[in-house]
Amino acid sequence: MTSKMVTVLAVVAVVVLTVADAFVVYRLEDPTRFVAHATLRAVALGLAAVAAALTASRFGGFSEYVGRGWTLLSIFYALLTISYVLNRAGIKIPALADSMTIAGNLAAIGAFWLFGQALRRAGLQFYGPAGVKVAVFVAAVAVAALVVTPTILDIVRSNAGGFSRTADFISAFADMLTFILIAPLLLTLWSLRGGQLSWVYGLLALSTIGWMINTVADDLLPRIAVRDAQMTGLFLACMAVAAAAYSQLAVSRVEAASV
Amino acid sequence: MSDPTSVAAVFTRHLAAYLGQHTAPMALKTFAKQALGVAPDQLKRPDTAKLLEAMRPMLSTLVGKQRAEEVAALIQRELA
Repeated sequence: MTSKMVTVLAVVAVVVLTVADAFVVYRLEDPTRFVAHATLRAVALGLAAVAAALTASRFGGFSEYVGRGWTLLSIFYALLTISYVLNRAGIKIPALADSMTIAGNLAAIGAFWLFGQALRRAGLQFYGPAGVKVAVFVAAVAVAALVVTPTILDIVRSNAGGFSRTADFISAFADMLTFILIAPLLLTLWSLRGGQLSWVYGLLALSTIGWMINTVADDLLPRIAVRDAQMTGLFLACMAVAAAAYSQLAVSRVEAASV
Repeated sequence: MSDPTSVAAVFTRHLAAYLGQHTAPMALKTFAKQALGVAPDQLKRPDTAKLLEAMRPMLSTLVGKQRAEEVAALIQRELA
């Protein structure tokens, strides 16, 4: 299966999952609705975790540069999945949940930092004029600030306890950093366009856009009459990561000209 | 680079499959200059091994060690 076909499948999966959640699950009665909604979300997160882990294992985990980013990404999605399932199952241990939030977010920062640095680490440079590169970074910082500021204000106003508040701050800080790190992903995508590796970086950038949609779903999107976009953002982030993981595997397995 | 069997053309074609048409020539130019101190169009077949050695970390970083070795072997075979 080609990277292009996997991307199309990922987009179809996002549409199917969103429609299923919005038009099927929400018409059910509780507790069936609760279970179905939680299952859809857990399956999406779990799929991203498994796909990233399979790709990481192909590159020997931390032993290769390309494997490190995928290992950290698999840790991020695995912790998100476990944390979410425990929460939905009613097993609420605040210290454990907060620890997983912190560890998961640090893993996400590490993963996107490594992916963003890959081209430079390879001894290459972003393609294009310096002005465009600066503009992309400035735009990423502006978008990240716009998207994450409402969350930071909510944390400042909240009455959460010390450790929980720290975990929330780290989570918001991680969101801010990973959203800014979309800039090197987009510049890498632009530099590698036409090459098979561009699929990997393009899909990783798409997953970040998914998390941006997920983050603004409660605060900003309702103001422009877009409602219930949170699950769409989450499904987009998870399916894009799964497709990116597949594309990275595909590039490593066969002659790129046929991927 | 009109001759498709020239060293530069063979390297560019294999690299472009992964890096695209814009970055592949840039990568070749960078590593040819770094490893051999020459421009891509001055590359000769005996330069192949040294150039591949210089490019190996770049390929390993982006596609993994095993695939990097396979790409290097393909280029080596084509230019043998």
